[in-house]
Amino acid sequence: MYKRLFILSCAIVLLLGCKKEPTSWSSNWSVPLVHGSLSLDDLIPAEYQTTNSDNYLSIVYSEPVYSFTIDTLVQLPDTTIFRKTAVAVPSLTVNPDFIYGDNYDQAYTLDQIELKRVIVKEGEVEMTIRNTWPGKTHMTFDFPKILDMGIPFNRIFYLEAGSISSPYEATELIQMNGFDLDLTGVSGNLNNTISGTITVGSNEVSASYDITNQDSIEYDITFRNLVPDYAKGYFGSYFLTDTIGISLDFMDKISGGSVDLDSLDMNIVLRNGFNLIAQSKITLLEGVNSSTMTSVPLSFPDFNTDININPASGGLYDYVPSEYPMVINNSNSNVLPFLENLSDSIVLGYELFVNPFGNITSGSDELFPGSSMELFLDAEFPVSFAANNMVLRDTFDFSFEENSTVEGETASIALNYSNGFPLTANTSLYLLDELGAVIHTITADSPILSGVYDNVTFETAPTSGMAIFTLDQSTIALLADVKEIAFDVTFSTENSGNVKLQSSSTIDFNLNSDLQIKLNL
Amino acid sequence: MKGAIVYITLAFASISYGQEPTYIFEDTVNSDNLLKLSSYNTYSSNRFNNDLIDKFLFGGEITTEIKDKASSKLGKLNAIGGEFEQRIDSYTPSINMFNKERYGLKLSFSDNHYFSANFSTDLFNTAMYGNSPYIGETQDFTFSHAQYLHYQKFSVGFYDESNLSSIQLSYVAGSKGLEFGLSESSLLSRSTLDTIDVDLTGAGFMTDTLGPYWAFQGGGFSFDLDYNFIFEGKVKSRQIINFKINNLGVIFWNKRTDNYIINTHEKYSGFEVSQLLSGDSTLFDIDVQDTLNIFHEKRNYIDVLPIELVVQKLADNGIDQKLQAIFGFKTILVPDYFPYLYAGAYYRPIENFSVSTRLSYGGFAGVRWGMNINYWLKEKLYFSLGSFDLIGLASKKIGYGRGLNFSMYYKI
Repeated sequence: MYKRLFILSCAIVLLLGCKKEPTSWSSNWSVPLVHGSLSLDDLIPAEYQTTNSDNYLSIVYSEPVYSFTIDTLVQLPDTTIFRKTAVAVPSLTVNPDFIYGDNYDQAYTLDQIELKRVIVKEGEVEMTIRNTWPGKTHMTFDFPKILDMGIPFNRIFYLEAGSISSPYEATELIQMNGFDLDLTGVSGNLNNTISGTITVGSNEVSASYDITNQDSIEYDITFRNLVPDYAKGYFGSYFLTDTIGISLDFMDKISGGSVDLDSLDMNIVLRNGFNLIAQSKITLLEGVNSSTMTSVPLSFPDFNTDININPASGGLYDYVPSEYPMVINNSNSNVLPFLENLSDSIVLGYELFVNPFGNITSGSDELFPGSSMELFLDAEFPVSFAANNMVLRDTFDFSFEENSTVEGETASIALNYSNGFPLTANTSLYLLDELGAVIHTITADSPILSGVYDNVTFETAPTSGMAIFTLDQSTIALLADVKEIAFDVTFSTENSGNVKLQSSSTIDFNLNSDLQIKLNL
Repeated sequence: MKGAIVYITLAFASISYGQEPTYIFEDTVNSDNLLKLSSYNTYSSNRFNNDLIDKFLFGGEITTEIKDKASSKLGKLNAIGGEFEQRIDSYTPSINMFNKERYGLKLSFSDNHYFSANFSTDLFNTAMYGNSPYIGETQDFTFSHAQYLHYQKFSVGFYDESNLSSIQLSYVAGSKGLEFGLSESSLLSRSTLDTIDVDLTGAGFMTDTLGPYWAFQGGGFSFDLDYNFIFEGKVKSRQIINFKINNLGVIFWNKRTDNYIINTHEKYSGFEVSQLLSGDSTLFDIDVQDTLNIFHEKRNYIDVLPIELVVQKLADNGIDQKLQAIFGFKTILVPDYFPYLYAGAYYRPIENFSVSTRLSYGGFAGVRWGMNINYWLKEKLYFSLGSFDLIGLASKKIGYGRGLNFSMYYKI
């Protein structure tokens, strides 16, 4: 009897203490995921959009493709003026009224550049003076050809008595922003030369003291980090040639299909903001589609032709860049095939010859504040096109950790939309493994239907609908191996016909999920 | 032999399903030292059958059929609860209180678990089915409540040797506890499924840890009264009416207790696409507590013990009547408990054996049928074994809980 009771007790202990399996049940949860409205503003910044004279959207692009500024041509290296003054006689008595003066020119080494004038955008000068004279001294620096706010720059230092073994030292750091430097030297005939005068005297009221030719006053003047804002002179003769790649990031997302564009007006402008003569040549302009591995070179009338670029006109505060426009349109170039290639990068080759004829202006070249020499693209793309399975692809990282408590069973993700674009879109999700290989494809049960397009007013009446993505249990089981998800949207215009977009077009949507999960407690 | 019996009794008492046995009044003379062991354990529900409860106790999949059956029975009060008490009492008549020989010393120790919950119909359905079947409907969670207490009582008091009535004052050692309750609360998944409206108001607390078993996280006191009224009838035999107040006291949970106030009025509509397009890396750094406006504070918490009131007519072994009526009333002053009423019969065919049966309604359950057997061995040793929920023991489908009680005493 007791033995049986004991066995029963043990059985109940085991029953209570050890759950053989977790408590589990399935439930369905509907949750809104993402909502909003997508317009062309989300793809193309508003400043690149305009409504053209035919009352539909044009994309305008008015940006420099390549440029260089003043500091590319003129760079002022750091330089230090070091001087040591001493009397030329073995011994001298310095009375309170003693004065000693000196002039100097300090030349910059600037290779073939010959500067006459520079206005400093930023930079600094550090002045350090050491006095070994055994009495109080003053030292005055005058730079009559360096103007600070229109006033000649000068500094006076009052120095206590020093000695050869222990000189008295004074230091000052001065910001040179806006300083106007005349670099023609004391004579006014030089280049790249900073000039100044120094005056040394006793600062004693009544006492005199003796100095020898071993006593000296030393000073260092160091110009550092000078960046020119304006420069005048001769900047040398340069020949530059380069090939650069211009990435069109937003085009990366187009991975297939084709578009048929209607028209295009494009100007490539060579713009010279410097008062100097230059020549340029565009040697290569090629669009590259890395998805299809196709390249289309653009040919146009001025392609591979030497172009003389006139100097900018006007002066320091009213200069006007010179421009050389190259007109490119449907009739004089292959610009439509070039664009229909849906290139995600453009390769630009150019040559630039600055002062090809040497110093023919007697050093009167000018680089103006904020000026540049640039290749400027000024284009208007009327958004009138036909799309045939044009694929936009975006890929995002994904990680899914299996959770023993909450286990996904099935899921459906519903996209409720109101499409105001005259485009039909098929959507697919590609589940990619760590090598980028597709391990599963989830396709919506129906396409996103096109809005109803009016080819007279170019307006599109929205069409509403729902597209559902279904993830069954086997798909969810794959999620742990998925490292990226590629989201493909394949656009087509109706019957591949031409449509004109309006900037007000939107697609409104909300994305929600219906998840069947199994809870394991 | 006696050691083996005590060992098995203790083992059984600590693990078995049981319920407070039918208390039998035996004698008006109690001059022996008495050691009493009892195990009162029960859990029950008025809506959830054993098929469902067993899945939570023993694991397994809650199928759609099980969920559907439970859901179809839901009403205004959907309660589940349980009491588990393992107890030892010592009666010592030789140590007298107030210098009166009739008042002996009573010392007790008990280990108690108490849990109860009441789920609104919508809360149960939402938890079991999710919100998908209820799109466009407001799910009302108001007045849902759950609490759990584990504590030990060290009691000292005195008893009246003439009727075993007793008064005890207890030190309560709180091991662990939690309680959460919702007031006006609802969930609305709008029919367009573009927004989910979450409105939750409520409060709760939880002790710092829910383990180990003998954790000590607070202390308190309680007062217990157990009084037997003896009515000497002129026509009929005497009648014994038992009146009890238990757990009149509090636990002061320590300052590490987590206290929560929930005041959520949120409309969740997913992410705005512009937020996603902006590439904001902090978009998914969601602080649930902040989002749901849950105020959390670690501080002391004063918790009232579940006060228990009992009035019952006891079976009396001191009279010659073989067949006696028994009936009673019990309530626990918590929101999830419905007053418990029972009535039944007690039959003692021979001197050292009796059996009782009862039909009851209330508590955490509905109608239940129970039975208890009692056996005396040479007036020194007593055993009682029974259940007030034989249907629950026998059936998963129509049983709504389980109970199996055990008690014994030994006169030293």
